[in-house]
Amino acid sequence: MSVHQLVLDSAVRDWVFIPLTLAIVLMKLLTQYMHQLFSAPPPSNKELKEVREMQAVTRAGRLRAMGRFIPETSYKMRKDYFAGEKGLFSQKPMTRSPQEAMATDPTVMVDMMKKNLTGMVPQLAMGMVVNFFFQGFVIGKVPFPLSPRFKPMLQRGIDLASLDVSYFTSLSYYILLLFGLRGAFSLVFREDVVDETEMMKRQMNPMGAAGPMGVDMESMFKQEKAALNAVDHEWEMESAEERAVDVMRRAIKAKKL
Amino acid sequence: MEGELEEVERQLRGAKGVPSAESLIRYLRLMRDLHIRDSPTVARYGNILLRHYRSHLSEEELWTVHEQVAIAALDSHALPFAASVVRAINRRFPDSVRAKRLQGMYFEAAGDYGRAEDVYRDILVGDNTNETALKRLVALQRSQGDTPAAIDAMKKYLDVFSNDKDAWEELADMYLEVLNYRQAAFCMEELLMLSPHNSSFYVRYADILYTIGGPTNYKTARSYYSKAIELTMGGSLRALFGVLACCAHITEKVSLQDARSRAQIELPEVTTQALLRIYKQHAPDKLPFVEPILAKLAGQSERP
Repeated sequence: MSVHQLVLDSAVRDWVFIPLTLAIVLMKLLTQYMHQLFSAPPPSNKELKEVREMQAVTRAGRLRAMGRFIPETSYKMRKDYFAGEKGLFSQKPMTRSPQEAMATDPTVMVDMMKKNLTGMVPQLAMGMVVNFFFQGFVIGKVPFPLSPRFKPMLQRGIDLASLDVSYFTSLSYYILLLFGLRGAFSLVFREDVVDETEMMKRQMNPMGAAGPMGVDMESMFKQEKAALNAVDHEWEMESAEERAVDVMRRAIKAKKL
Repeated sequence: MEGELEEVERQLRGAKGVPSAESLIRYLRLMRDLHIRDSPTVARYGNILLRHYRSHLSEEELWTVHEQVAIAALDSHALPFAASVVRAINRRFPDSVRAKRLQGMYFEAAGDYGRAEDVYRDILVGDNTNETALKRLVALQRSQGDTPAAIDAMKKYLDVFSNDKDAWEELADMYLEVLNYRQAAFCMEELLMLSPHNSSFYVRYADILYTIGGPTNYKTARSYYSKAIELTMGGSLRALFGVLACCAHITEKVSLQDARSRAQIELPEVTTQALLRIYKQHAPDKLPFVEPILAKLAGQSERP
């Protein structure tokens, strides 16, 4: 098995190996530029009102946790501002939930279409082209022996039991380059190299990607309002004088003052 | 990290001729990380670094350093140098908001407030949630001395970004400038909630309450001064004097009932003791001046 050596036609090199490599590199370049073109405007879809509501929720949370450090009247004033009859949390929030945004805002859909267009479509087209033109060639040999388990990985498109595993076919080479070129590309393009694996992940799990941007502000408002109403104000300074006297007494005794 | 900074500074000062690229880079990096404002030095070393060792910096750090040096140069009013750096940044990142902001800051430093405002408004048209541009607008009014306008701009900013500690602090200062103590107290309350362990906020809040005056406010102020004393282990003289001043104004008698009222009665006495001890130890020559003041304050609080 290890004795025979395959002699590959030099035409295979000229008409398969080189064109295939070139085609893949060019396609990668194209997707890269398309990606940069489409994603040029940064996602500044956040409205001032939405930021305000987000920050207000944080501030209300702080009021709940740290309210004991301010006097009761001040606390009540703030509580009323947030959770009162006409308070901020009694109004309908401006922030729309992600489902609503999807339904009313066409740009969200368009964005997704664009992502698909730049990501998956060229890849599928390229796969078809490669399948059509370059199928069934043995184009090289890895310089080390491999176990037979690598056969489906390295010899895609050729089903020959007698062929040594270290030979690889054009189709496998294509797949290898498709994912392996990212590292080389990241040397040239500093930022945002199109990452196929990342893109795949996103497509597998669309909810994960939508998580951070979509918040259901209405329920957050309700929660925060209920929480504020549930908490009673306790003034931390109620016994401050006692503690101050204690501290000073102790310091005087210990001759620290 | 501070120790490291000192070491690098020593290296830089000891260097003959042009200091080495490494120590310059390290110095600027430390200054960035530690948020230390020593603009003239940063501008000087940054100038050397950018002139002699551009190639020693990676692409990312090169432009971070550019930004840092530009701001330092503006801060130390080295306008021609700042202009060249800002221009370089704008040439490299023509559409960047951060570059535009630097442009605006340059106009501000040059005293061309109208153009600076145009730049910031232009940024806000593109992205109306840009925090820094909103804040620059406040600074713009403040540096022109128009405190009421600055207050309005700050209110607009804080209405959205209500978790910004520095902004609340600045607003409190501005309210104090226009003698609006109630609003200043409101800002201090926000600050108290933002960092309840900072004793200076307690003292300042109590100061404001004391200034507003009135029986309830004196009592509240006394509580906050007491809290500051607790936090500083009696080390804050301002808080100690504050307690005494408040006690002098609180005339209402408390009967010995519980621990709290006992503490309120004992408070002036113990505070006076603490103050006397501190003066005896650290500034004995000032004792003759302090003693009569303390006696006067004590006399006031004992008066029915």
